[in-house]
Amino acid sequence: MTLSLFYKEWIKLRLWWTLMLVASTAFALFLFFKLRYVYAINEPLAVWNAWITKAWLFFRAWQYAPLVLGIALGFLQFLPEVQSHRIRLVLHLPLGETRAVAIHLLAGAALLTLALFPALLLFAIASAHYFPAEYLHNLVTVIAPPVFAGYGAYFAVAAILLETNWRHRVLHLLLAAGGLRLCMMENAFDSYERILVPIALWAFALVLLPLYSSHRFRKGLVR
Amino acid sequence: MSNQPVIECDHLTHYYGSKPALLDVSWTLRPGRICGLLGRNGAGKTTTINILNSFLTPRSGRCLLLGEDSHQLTPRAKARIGYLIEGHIQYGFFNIHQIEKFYSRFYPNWNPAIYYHLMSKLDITPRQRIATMSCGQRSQVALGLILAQNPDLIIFDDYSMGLDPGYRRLFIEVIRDYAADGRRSILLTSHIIQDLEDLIDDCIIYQRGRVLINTETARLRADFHKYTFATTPAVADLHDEPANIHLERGEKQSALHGFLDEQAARAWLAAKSIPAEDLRAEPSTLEDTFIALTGKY
Repeated sequence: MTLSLFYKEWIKLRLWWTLMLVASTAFALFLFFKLRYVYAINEPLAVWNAWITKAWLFFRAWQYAPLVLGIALGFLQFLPEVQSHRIRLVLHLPLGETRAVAIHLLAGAALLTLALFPALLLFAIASAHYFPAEYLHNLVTVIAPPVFAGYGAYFAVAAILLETNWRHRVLHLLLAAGGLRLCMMENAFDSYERILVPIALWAFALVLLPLYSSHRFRKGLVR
Repeated sequence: MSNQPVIECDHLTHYYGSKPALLDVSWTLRPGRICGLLGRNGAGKTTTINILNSFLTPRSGRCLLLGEDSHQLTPRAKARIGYLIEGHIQYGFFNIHQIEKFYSRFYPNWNPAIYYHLMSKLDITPRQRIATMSCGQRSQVALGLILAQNPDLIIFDDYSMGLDPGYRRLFIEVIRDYAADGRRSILLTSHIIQDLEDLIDDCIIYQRGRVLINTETARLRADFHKYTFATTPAVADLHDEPANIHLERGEKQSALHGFLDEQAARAWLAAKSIPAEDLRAEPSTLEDTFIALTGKY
């Protein structure tokens, strides 16, 4: 049953997901070549110094990619489900309703991970090649919040679409927007070092919102 | 076969805001029966279907499906219930093979032959997505998937919506063949009542959120009559709801509808001082009966 639901999500999203993967990876490749060019015309120390003191990050432009991809994936996955209340088809399947929606969310989160992975790998390779080893740790702490924002945005969009009550939708939006803003505020060296875990917990706790909304819909509790 | 009802609606009451949608509605569907849930727009049919499918919690009362509370159905019970959503909603991104592969894993009694038999009659290409099919073709895909599931109970919510006469008739024929063994129970709603004439065994008619009639269709056909007579100044439109009698004034001919034999009809008109010497019985269809009971306005 789980594989069947994965199959459905794959058939639904495969074209869009491929486009996302290509766009994210192509953008990362562009930034990689740009870094190589900057290195070719500048001293390495000047580039390292720019990272630490001026917050010049070669992947800065890409940091919005997880957010955009998370929002897009949420819409592309759940808009067809809520049009004409098509989600009733899934909720009527002979398995637990919460489990059915959780499998959808797991499939979406997995596709988001796979779409982001090549770009993140490319940035890790670039950092390892052009910067001292300590920078790789810094890369992780700087790039993780925007990636968490991508997952948070994905879960929030899913919740807003699955929710049928406008007051709850606004509440979901506010819960998500506050955290997202926090994730996108800073990109300087070590800015997020101490709050990385709370941010990660917030992003993944948002998965409860779409589960809550679909449960209310299934049990006829929507007013 | 057990005699336990496959559907039990027990004192359902529901309001949208302060507007009543269902008022103390109770009825049952016995196993092996085909039941038409009929009513005018806003009568409460969709509210009932939504409660049956647990997408709506009634203010009071409850529904049992196959003996289980409709809001607490186990996966095992869900596998025995087929549900056609109003508008033949299905996943448009699949083609007919992909969607069969998707659903087949969920149902232990899955029978693909019945599905592919229906698909073979459609003028579609093997890789055509469902979203690009006509409404009639989509209805056959949705119907085929439900029948392949081999359910004991099927709920068709407004199956005729958007279908041309050909597809409507095809739909009815497939349902009739499927239910011919007498082991399946079917509840359906539709506004095309003439299609249901020879299909449904039982008939439940709603009027403004209440059950107006709940009887066997054959009994309704036998007991409910239409009489015509020449219009005179004494005739005026009249709807006696408690007695389910409807007097309809026409230009030259007026009609009396009700659970009345000819003698009772004459007596009823005489009591109202309406002369009707030329009173005669007329054949009445299920649709005539429905309109006579629920009115045109």
